Amino acid sequence: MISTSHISQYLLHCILSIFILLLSLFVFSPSAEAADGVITDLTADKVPIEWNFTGANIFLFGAIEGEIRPDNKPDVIVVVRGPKKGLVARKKERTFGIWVNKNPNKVSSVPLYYSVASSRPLLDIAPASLLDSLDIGFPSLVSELSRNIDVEDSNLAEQYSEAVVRIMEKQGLYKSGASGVKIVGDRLFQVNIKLDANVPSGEFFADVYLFRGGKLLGRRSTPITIHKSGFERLIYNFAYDHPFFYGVFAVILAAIAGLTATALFKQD
Amino acid sequence: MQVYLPIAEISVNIFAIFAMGGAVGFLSGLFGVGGGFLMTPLLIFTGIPPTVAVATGANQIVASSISGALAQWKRGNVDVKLGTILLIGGIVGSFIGVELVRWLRSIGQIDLIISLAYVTFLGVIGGLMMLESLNAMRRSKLNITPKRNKSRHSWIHGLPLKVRFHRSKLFISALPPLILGLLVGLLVALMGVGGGFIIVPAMIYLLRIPTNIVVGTSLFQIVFVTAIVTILHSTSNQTVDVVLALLLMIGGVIGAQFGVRVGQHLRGEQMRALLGFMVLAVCLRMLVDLIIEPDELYSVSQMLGGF
Repeated sequence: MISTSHISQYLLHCILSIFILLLSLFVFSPSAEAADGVITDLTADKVPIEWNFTGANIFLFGAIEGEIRPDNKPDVIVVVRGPKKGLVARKKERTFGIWVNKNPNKVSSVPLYYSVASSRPLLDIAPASLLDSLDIGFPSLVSELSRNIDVEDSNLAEQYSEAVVRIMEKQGLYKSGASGVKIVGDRLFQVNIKLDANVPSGEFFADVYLFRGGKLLGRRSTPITIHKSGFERLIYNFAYDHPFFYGVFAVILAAIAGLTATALFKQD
Repeated sequence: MQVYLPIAEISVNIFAIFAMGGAVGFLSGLFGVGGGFLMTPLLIFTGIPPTVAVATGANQIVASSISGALAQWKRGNVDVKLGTILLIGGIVGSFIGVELVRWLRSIGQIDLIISLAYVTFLGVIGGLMMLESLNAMRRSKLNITPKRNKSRHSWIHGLPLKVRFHRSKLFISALPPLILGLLVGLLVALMGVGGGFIIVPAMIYLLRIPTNIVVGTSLFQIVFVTAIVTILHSTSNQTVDVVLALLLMIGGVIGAQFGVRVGQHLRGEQMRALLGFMVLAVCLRMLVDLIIEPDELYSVSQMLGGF
């Protein structure tokens, strides 16, 4: 008796397993390759800089696809990278009692914006070597920039790239937050990407990385365009595309303003 | 309310900029000075990049001096021949100054040089103003009338290339006004000032030109040189921010009207001492910024052609 009930239970288990297997094949097979992945969306993929621009907040929403085990929950890191540009870093030295910029070093392709947000502290999510290879986090940014400085002394290169990261962070262009990614329930997450008023214009990328157990499961990159718009764009383009006529325009504007003001105050 | 400046590429409080334009305008109306030498440092203290502060300052002076220049012209107080020679020097000086700014910018030393130029000029001018007004106050207490140096012959009169300036009733070499104009053009381009604080005393004491002609002719030269510097800075450095300039102009002209009215009720020597004190305070602030060890020894700047 015991054995028959055992067999029937075994059979039931088998049937259920096959059913679940079939169901799972049916439901998930078209996206079988993206079994562990993320889908994301932004509240805005174009940010205009207009005359009253004081910064912007973009929300990135996402969903984690694939199996979720309660004992081994996935982690999410979101890195937003701005356009890259060559910069010159200098160190001040005291010369005749005053502090003078000296020792210039070129740092090629510096991201003008870099923000990293994660669901937990970065090193709890993945080992430093993996983070480094993906350029995630300030330490890996420092080593990336060090490689972009053309000096023999690697300590010196590191000092300069640390200084670049420090200065950019102080200007609000580099940001990091260990609790920036909020995971809602098991599958949904959201990040607030903060852009300050001094954010440069250009092509940005929001890269979402999905980790579990210290391993990268998936990633997804979404472009964001930050561009001067309306009046700001008009003035900026005028100044850079037709600098001479812009100068003439500035003089005429000043002349009109000066003469108008005098005329107005004379009537009083 | 914040406004984003398209060339300075920062967001500033619109009322703070109005207030700054107004305050400098008030002082210039009160003291009868251009005010550029206070405007540029204030803009730098606000966080405007020094090169933008200088070029935009020059643009703003066009607005603040054009009406005065026109009024002087109508009164016949402009010595056109002298003004033209000053202007030729001014144009050459502007070209040199703007290219100097471009070069210094590419090697990362422009902020320092602008600060040093200000510390030097503000120090000398503020110091002289304080001394002059303190002396004047002492004299008025002791009832001493200042001695006038009547000698009309100095080394200036020994120079070649003499030209007759009918309006100024002078027969002097063209070299001093040419060099003076050049120096002023250089200062306008490098410091965003009108240069009245150099050109007026030089014309009165060195060239001995009648005061009414000095005022008219220097304004004539200032309008043109600041206009040329604005165009040259736009062309070479793209550092003129018309939005910032317009805000400063609006604040400036309103402030100047009040300044002139208040100025009529105050005594000259004390006001000059006050202005001298303010000039020295700005000078000191800039000097301190150069001398104390900065929190951040490193700096970054965009890579510009020259490096």
